[in-house]
Amino acid sequence: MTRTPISATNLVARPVAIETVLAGEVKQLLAAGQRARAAERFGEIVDRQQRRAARIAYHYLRDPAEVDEVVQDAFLKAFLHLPSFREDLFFELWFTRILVNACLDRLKARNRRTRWLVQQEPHKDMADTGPASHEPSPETRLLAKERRAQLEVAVDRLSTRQRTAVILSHFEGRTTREVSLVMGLNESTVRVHLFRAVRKLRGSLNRDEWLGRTPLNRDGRSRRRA
Amino acid sequence: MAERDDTTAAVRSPRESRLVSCMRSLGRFAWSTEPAHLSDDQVLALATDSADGRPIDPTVIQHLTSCRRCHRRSRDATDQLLALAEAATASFDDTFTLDVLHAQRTRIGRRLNILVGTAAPGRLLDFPFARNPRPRTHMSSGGWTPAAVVGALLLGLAVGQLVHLHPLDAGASATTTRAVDGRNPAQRAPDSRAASGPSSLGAALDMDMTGTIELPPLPGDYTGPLTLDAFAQVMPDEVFLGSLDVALTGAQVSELASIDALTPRVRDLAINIR
Repeated sequence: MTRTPISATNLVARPVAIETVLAGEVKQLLAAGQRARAAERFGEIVDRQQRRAARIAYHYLRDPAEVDEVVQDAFLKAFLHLPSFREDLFFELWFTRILVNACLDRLKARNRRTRWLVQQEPHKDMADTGPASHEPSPETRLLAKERRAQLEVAVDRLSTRQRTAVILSHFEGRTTREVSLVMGLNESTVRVHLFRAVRKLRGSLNRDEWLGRTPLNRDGRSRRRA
Repeated sequence: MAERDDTTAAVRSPRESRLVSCMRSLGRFAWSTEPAHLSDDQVLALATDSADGRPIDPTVIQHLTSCRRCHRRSRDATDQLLALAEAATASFDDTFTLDVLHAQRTRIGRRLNILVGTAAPGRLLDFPFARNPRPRTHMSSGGWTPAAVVGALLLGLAVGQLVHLHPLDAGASATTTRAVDGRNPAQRAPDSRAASGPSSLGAALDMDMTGTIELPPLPGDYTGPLTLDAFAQVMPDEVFLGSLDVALTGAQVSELASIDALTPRVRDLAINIR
């Protein structure tokens, strides 16, 4: 997936993000030999991108321990390769490509491992570290858990490219243009993958169940996240 | 444009006039010219803002604004996609709480500091029972004893193999006998057959180092099985017994003594033959 360069000229309408500016500063600090200062500045990038990176990795891997490792490795890899980062690129998309490739590599390794070994249960200790901020009723939590399980199964059935298109476009709110730059594919090709992925998801999931149990449908407020 | 109702069926009254019938036919014609509803793929393309790679037909959008049913289907599809994203995000939020993310951020920072050299890597803990581990870089004085034992064993095995493969006394005796006789074993066979007396030297010469008795060649016209009578014609009893005595009292290979103890004795073999 390294065909199309992530150039700022391809994203004219999008302003230069603060992460890209920070990445340029870190690159200059690394070139000047101020590695400690560079690591400190890179920490600000980590603060801005960590949650989004963990969310993307979680959509791929579902295992909190593996997500943790992949996100750490992706940030370290980005820091190590930052001297080769072109400042006219968007750091966010460049880093997303690193992260997605790491997740796909981890999935391949997991598939190879599960061919020979008995599949392990995902680690639940990180999920049980503390209660969520909101405390819904047990019935609501059970229904929500069931729906998430259905969604995870449906997403896992998608092909690699369809999954990437759905995760980045619908779960992360990225535009088709950005997704195409991350995936290194043509924009129309991404639309095809996206369309087929959503059609397959709708076929896998029970439509009435999904729409009938959506609490946000009742109050009518928008659920699209920025 | 009103929403099409496919479920209602027209019931023609027998008393209706021809005018009413014509009006009903015109109505059916008007229904047939109305564009059909959007397909599921078209609705989905509107919801995902993608039409399988093709641009969305403007007539589809125009139909959506006029058809309440298709509009509702499109809204449902959009809601379903939003529900998918909401469920995916909720699953992440439940798993990765703020504490988990904070711990992850700490680990990333520590690894970054190790990478740039501002922090030392994690210390390797010693094994709990080895409080004062001895250095393993040089061999202590007590370690030479097993090494010497192993070396001596290997040296003894090597010397034993050399002696076994090149027996000095056997080679010397063979040389001696060849010097005494001065002929080939094939030429010595008639002499041993012609010798009389148990202590004949020819019988001893027909033995190799393993104590095997070399039989003289059979007569040329004899093709039958080697029975006792035929054996008696080939080798007389006196010569055979003399060979047995030589085999029992002659030089033996010391390395084969243990194997010889396990094999049947030549004496027993002679008794059985008799």
